Amino acid sequence: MTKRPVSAIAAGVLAAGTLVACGTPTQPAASVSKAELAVHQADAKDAGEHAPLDIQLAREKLARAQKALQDDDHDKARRLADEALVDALVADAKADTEESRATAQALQQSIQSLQNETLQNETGSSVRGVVR
Amino acid sequence: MTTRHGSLLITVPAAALFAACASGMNPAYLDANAAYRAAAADPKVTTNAPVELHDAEQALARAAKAQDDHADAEEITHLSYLAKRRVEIAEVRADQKTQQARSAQLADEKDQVLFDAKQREVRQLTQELADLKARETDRGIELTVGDVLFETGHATLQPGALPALARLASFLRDHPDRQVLIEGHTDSTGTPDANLKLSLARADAVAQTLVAQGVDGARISPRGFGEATPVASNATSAGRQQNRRVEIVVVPSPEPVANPRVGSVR
Repeated sequence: MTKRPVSAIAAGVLAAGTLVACGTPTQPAASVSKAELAVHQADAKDAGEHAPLDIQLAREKLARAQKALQDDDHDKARRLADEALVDALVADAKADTEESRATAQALQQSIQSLQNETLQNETGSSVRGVVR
Repeated sequence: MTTRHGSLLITVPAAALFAACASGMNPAYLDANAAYRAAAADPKVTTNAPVELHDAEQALARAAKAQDDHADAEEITHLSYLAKRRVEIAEVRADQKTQQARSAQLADEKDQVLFDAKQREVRQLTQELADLKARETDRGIELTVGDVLFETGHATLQPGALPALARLASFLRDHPDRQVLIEGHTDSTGTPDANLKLSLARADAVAQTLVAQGVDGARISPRGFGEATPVASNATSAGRQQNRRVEIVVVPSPEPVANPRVGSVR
């Protein structure tokens, strides 16, 4: 058994013109669950603030995937859910990155203010030094 | 219903085949492929997000496979989209790693700046407290309140001692974790008992001056040693004057940043 994705096989089979009624070998329900989890996790990281477009895209596609699943449109459900998943992962990664960037910036600023303080202490020798 | 569904399934792949033959490659696939090539050529991505880049490569391979298998255009476009987003994830994660590395470097830098500032302040303090012969020793910062700063034979401090003690008090207020030892000493003139009392009284006088300047008395331990620990000969008047003294030791706080120079008496 080759490792190629079942969805690709299904697509190939369709393209070859073979009629397969409702070719849905992947489990769209599982795809939807994964997407739900990823959107939830991205939301928990304030992705709405750092990656509003990506998380919005993920939410919309997830909602449409859930709808498609209810309507038994399995191919559509799978595609939308898989796309919602990667959209949510992008939002998640952007939120993490923004947080890391903010951490670095805060450090940079605190170093800057420490250095300014030192400079002031050296210029005005009578000024008391403050070390935190 | 079934027949309609069936005819739709036939027409979609037919259209996909036609499109693939006409334009060669699915534009979404070309787009994803270009994005992947760019990321794979970026050392920042290959170094910082190899796993994510590998995921992107596999996603792209699935899209390529679908194309080779002449899957319908919608499926190829869908798989290409997944691949392109995987590339984006790799790029963003690489960026995150870069920021994290920068933070680690900045944290080290901050430690160094803090440590340097502390060093500089101690040096500055010892300069400002030159009147009290401030010096760094393995016990901490040691100061000596000399005999001339007391009224002769008494425990009362002369006004001249106050500016330096005020400066010391402000340092202690800024560093509430530091403890202070105050040790009174005398020469051997007079009875040992009287000397013990005078040495303690002078240590107390210094302690009270610091407390009056806002230093918590609980941090200060005054002790009298009398004539027991001379630093010079009691045979000469100069030696005796050196022996009449109050020593102040500012004990270093247990610091997270190790000072390589602690331990060397300068």
